[in-house]
Order: sequence, then C-alpha cells, then structure tokens
Amino acid sequence: MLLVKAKNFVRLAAVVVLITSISVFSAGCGIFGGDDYPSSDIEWYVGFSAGGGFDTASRIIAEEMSTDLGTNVVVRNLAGGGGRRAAQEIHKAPADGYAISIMNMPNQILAEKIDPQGVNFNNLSWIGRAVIQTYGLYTAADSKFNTPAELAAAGDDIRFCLSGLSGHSFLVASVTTEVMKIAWNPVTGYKGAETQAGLLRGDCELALGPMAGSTLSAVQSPDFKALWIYEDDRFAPLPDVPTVKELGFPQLGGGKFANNGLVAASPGTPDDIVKKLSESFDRALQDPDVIAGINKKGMAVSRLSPAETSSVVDGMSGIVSEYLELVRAKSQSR
Amino acid sequence: MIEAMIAALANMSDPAVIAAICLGTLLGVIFGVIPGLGSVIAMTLIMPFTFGWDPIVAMYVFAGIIGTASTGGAVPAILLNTPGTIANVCTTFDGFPMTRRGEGGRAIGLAATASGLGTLFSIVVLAALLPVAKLLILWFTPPDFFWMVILGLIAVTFASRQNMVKGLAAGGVGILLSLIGFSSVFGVRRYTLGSEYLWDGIEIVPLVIGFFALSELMVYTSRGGTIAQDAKVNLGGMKQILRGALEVFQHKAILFRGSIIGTVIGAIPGAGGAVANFLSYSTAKQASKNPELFGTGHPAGVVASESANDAKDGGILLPTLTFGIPGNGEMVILMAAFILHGIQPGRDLLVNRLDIVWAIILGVIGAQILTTIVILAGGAWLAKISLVPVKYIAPFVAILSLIGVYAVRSNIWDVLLAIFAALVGFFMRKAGFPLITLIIGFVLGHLAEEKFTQSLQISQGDYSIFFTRPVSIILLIAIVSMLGWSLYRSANPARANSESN
Repeated sequence: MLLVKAKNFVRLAAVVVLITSISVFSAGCGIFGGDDYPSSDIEWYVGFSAGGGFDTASRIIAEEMSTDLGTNVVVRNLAGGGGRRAAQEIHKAPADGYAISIMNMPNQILAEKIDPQGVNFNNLSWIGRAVIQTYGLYTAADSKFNTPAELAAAGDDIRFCLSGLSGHSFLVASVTTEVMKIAWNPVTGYKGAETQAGLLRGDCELALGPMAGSTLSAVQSPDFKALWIYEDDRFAPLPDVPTVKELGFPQLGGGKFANNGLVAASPGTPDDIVKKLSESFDRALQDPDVIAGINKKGMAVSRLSPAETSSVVDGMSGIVSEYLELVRAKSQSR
Repeated sequence: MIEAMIAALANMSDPAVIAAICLGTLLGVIFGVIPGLGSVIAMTLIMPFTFGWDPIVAMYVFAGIIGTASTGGAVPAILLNTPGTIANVCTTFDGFPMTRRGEGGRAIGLAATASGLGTLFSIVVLAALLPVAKLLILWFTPPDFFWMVILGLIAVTFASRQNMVKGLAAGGVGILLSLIGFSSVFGVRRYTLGSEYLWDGIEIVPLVIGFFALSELMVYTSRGGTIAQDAKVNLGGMKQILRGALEVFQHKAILFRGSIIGTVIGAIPGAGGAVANFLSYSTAKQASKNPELFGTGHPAGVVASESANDAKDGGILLPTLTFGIPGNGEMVILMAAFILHGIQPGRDLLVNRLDIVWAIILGVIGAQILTTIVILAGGAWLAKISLVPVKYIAPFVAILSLIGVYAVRSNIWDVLLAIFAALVGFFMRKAGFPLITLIIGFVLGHLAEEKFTQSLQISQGDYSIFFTRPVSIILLIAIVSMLGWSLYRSANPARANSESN
C-alpha cells in the first residue's frame, strides 16, 4: 500500500515538474506572449524587383526598423504576378510576426478580383501605410482638350495610353469615362516614359498615372499638362490643377484611386505583435532620413494606424467590387 | 554639350573615377563570363552599396558594367560553347568551332577587338545623336516597330537555311512559348495551366541557360575528353591572340554593318542584344561569298556577332537618356540607380544633368577599352581552359549557371525550368533543330503581338496604319527584298554567288 502511494506521489511530482518546465520554456520562447518578440530576423516580402519605388521604400524603412526593434528586418524580393507571389506568401506565412509584406493597393485587390487566387486582403493583419501617390490625368501640352465637358463632346472615341486591360489605370479610366460620359478606347502596352512618348507622338490623347517621380516631372514640364487630380484638395506640387471635386465629380475624389503602399503581417498575427510592429513602423516613418529617402523616390510618406489601414483596404475592396463588372465589360468589349 | 563633355573628360583623371571604372569593368567581366549572371544582376547587387556615393562616381561603375558584360560573355561562348549572356549566342556558332581546332586564342582576339570597336562606334553615334534623339524616338512609331520585329523574325529563315523546316518549326515553338502568361493587352491568362509561376510568362534567362549552357554541357560530357579536340594542339599564345585582334580589320564591312545593326536595334526598346547579335550574323552570312563557311569556325561570324552585341550599348542608352524609356533590363536598373542618386530620368537629364550623361558615355568607353586590353592580355591563359578535361569543367559551369538562374528572381522553379530546357535542348540538338531560332522566336514573338495590337488600337481598327508611314514602307521593302533575295539564291546558288563576286 505504501509502495503504491509512493509511486502515485512520484507520478504526480513528475507531471508537476513537466508542466512547470514547459511553462518556463514556453515563456522563454514567447509562445504565451510577445514579451520576447522579436527574437529572430523578420522577413519583409516585396512583390516587385529590386530597385523599384516600393522596394527602395521598404529597404529604407526596414533598416530603421532593424535598429528600433533590435533585430534584422530583411527585405526579400519575391517578384512575380504583379505582386501576387509575395501576397500569397504572406497570406500563408505563420502568424508569428516574422514575415511582413508591402502591397500595392488597389492594384493587387483588383488583380485578385479579376483572377482570384485565394488571397483575402481583408484578413491580413494590417500594420500601416508607408507611402501614397496621388493619381492624376494628363495630356500633351498642345492638346485641344482641357475640361471634362470638352472630352465628353469630342464625338470620336478618346484614346487613353494605358499599361493594360486589368491594371489600376484601366480601372480609373473605366470609372472616369463612365462618370463623365466620355466615349473612349484604350491603347495598351505603355509603361512609364513610354506613355509620355505615346502622347507626344499622337498615339493617344490622354494618360493616367501616379503624380510622382518622372511622371510628375513630365507634367511639370512645358511638354505636358495635367487636367485634374483625383482628390478633394489641391495637390501641392501641381497647385494650378483642379480636383475632380472642383470639376463637379466628387464621387471620383477623396483619394480613393490613389496608389497606396500598405504593409501587413499574415492573417491571425497576435494583436500585441501587430502593435509592436506598427509602433516600430510608425516611428521609422517619422525619421527625417527615412522621409527624405522616400521623397527622393518620388513618393510621399503617409502614415495610418493599423485600424485606419484596415479601413482603407475595406474601402478599396468596396470600390473595386462596385466597378468590377464595369471593368470586365470594358475589357471584353475591346 | 561640348563644355559638359570637356568637364567630364577632365574628371576622368580623378582617382575615384578611375577606381569606379575599374570596379565596373571587373564586375562586368566577371558577371559576363559566368553564364546566367550578366550585367543586370551585377548592377542590382552593387546598387545598394553606391548609396551615399557621389552620383558621378556611381554612374561610372554602372557604365563600366554595361559596357563590358557582353564582352566578358564572349569568353565562355568561344571556349565552352556556352554564351555568357544572351547577346553572345551567335558567337558560339563560329567561336567554339575555332576552339575545337585549337584556335581559341584567335577567336578571343577577334571577339575582344570587334566588341571594343562596336562599342566605340555606337557611343560616338550616341553622342552625335543626343541633341536630336528626342525627335528620332518620337519618329519611330508602333507600326514601324512591328515591321522591325517582323524583319527580325524573317531573319530566322536565314539562320535555318540548312534545314528550313526544322528552323521555322523551332521559331514557331519559340513564338508560342512567348505567349504563355498573363496578357496585359487582352487581360487574360494564356496557357498558364493554372500555375502562378507561369503568370508572368516564361523567364528568358532559365530558357537560354538551359538550352545553350546546360544542354551543351550534356553534349560534351557525353562525348568526354577535352573541349579542344586535339589535346596536343599548340594554342599559339599571345601570337594567336594578336593575330585574331588584327584580323578584325580584314572584315571591315562586316564590322561596320554589325556596328550599325547593333546601334539601331539597341535603340529599339525590347529588341535587345540577342536580336542585334542574330540579325548581324544572319545578314553577314547572307551577304557573304562563302555562306557555307559560317558555323564552321569562320572568323567573320565572330566579328559579325560581337560587333553588334556590343554596339547595342550605345543604341540602348539613347531612349533611356533622352526619354527615360528603358530598352532592356540593364536600363531598368540604371534608371533605378538614377532615382536612388536623386537624378530624375528623362527630359531633366539632358537639360540639367549633362555631367551624368557624359559620365555614362565616357564610362562605357573607358571600361570597354580596359576590357579589351584585359581580355587580349589574358586570352592566351583563358584559351588553356579548352585543354582541361570536360569532367572537371562541366560540374563547375553547371553549378555557376544554376546559381545565376536562381539569382534572377530567387525562384526555385526557374532552376527547374532551366534543367527541363536543358533536357529538351539536348534532344533538339541531337535531332538537328536549331535552338537559336527558338530563342529569337521567343524574344520577338510577344513583341510582334504587342506592337501589332497597339498599332490597331491607335488606328482604331484601320489596317492602313501599317502601310502609310515612310519608315514602315522602307522596312516593308527591306523585308520583301530579303525574302526575294533568299528565294533567288536558293533557286540559283551558282549564279547568285558569281553576282556577289
């Protein structure tokens, strides 16, 4: 009897020791909380090739966050599918805060809606917004068109130089022409400075794009003129260019068509880890060297909290869903 | 313009500038020699390190890489039948047979000198055309571009004269492969089989490495021995190198024509070194009194190929510096480097930053001269690689090639694609299908579709856009003439040769 009691006592003691050990070990590993987070390198996925705008902005911010967090934040380029490869990686990454990604919105939301691959952007753990680029419409300086009314009254189809039939600029062109009652045709295959060459050659009458970098330089030169900005308030680098709100089309304003560089962690990342990441991210975006470095790339730093970023994503998803059938109809009619 | 040039020339005595040119040259040659790596990767890797440098000094590094990678790529093309870059593919056709008969040094001398002279020609043209470049860029429209691409595709028929059916079949397969992926023109996926990897289409680097580098390794591994067929051959040392270097001047017409083709094709965004290389080789072969010698180790073949692929360097800088339109991957990285250093590409460059423009021009010249000297000086030593048993070279080249493939996008599927392409390429070689026509079809196929569609969108469906512009008409006449001459030559070979004489 005494032997049985002794055996039971030993078993009980062993279980207590085991549970205590696991608790101590787990606390050391941070399983029950983010107290020791981060304890290893954080990977920052960029869905575009090295050297581009979002890539450089990511590297600048990541370097600052490395110092702030006391661990390496390593940028990893996962170019492919217009950013979809990185989006898929972050979507299926473990929810431990050791992988984050920057995304080009609403471009990637539109791509996912047109060709679904199972990425739900509303489920990601949003950290914040890094950069924003105001969208605008521009034309050659000697163009006879200056107002929406003149474009609507043109008679012939107005040609837009665009990159393709599924990107951000096609979405904005589709919505703009629908709202302003402009008859139009896309001319595809134009990227960056090729768009400006196309306008000067007369391949097309209008072009759309983020008012940043070389496009902003071109619009500020004597060769081109911006007709309007998709905002409610005037854009400081182009103070004489009216907004769509001023022109009587507020439904196109509010920055809903701006290019956003949003940063997220994988779905289900614990709140305390998201908080640590977003606070570090926000501090980095307030650093003067970071701001200067991003401005040099032709982008503007524009901070948002995780909740605000999530709200922006919801809003963009709504807009894309609202106009998705229009975009599909326009692309299929070409 | 002149003042900026003189100031830039004076700047070249600065030790920092000299060091930058040397660094760019070293990186360009190393990354050019190793198959699959190339100038894009070299520029991408060095770019973050230049952050904080004087922009002028940084531009000399990038110019050095741009000016030298395809010259470095000629070395493995000649010695190992493995093009270092895609622009060196045609160099293998005659360079490697020369190595096989123990004349690798002579081929290296030919390549280094032709490359240097081709680059110098195109850079002089670039400098001369800069004031009017914008007008030239605007003058060349999508329908003109379309006919230029068709001209390139027609040249496929000349490269496959020995077996036209197989050559055209391979070219057709290349065009079909180019259509795989998401089409931004039509907004749909094509032939991706539901794969996300194929969404962007097939990447060219794994394809070229697989077809040309890895399949070649399989061929001579299966054969064994050394690359030079006669291991006791006397490679001739520096004498042979210099013989090759001076021999370039016996092919002045080919050198001149190749330089023009390279410069013109280089100025067309998207066409690239492979097309320049191929067109120059094809036209040299077609115009030759002895076209049957091409592909057997004919020095003219090396001159035609190398003069064009390096002349593209000047051409490709034209749309980039004047308009900010990048013509290929190198220029995309160069423009990223501009922005990194606070330089706005496009109009602003020619108006406010001529110092940057001249830094690039002089950097390319300086680096090319240095590379030519280095390769000529080291050529005798490099040629000895052809005496090393293939069982030692093959694994080394294979590993380096696959590392190069992976480095492009950090995607393991690219490596698997390269291996698959190697297997297909190996059997295509055995069956007598020319791989070069497949690659040309691949490079030009989607460009032809894009420009055709773009032209019809501009004209809103009116096909006359292809026949109304002067440049289009000239190109159409050139295409018809090429086809006509080829048919005439096939029907009357003896008469055609005597007329050439």
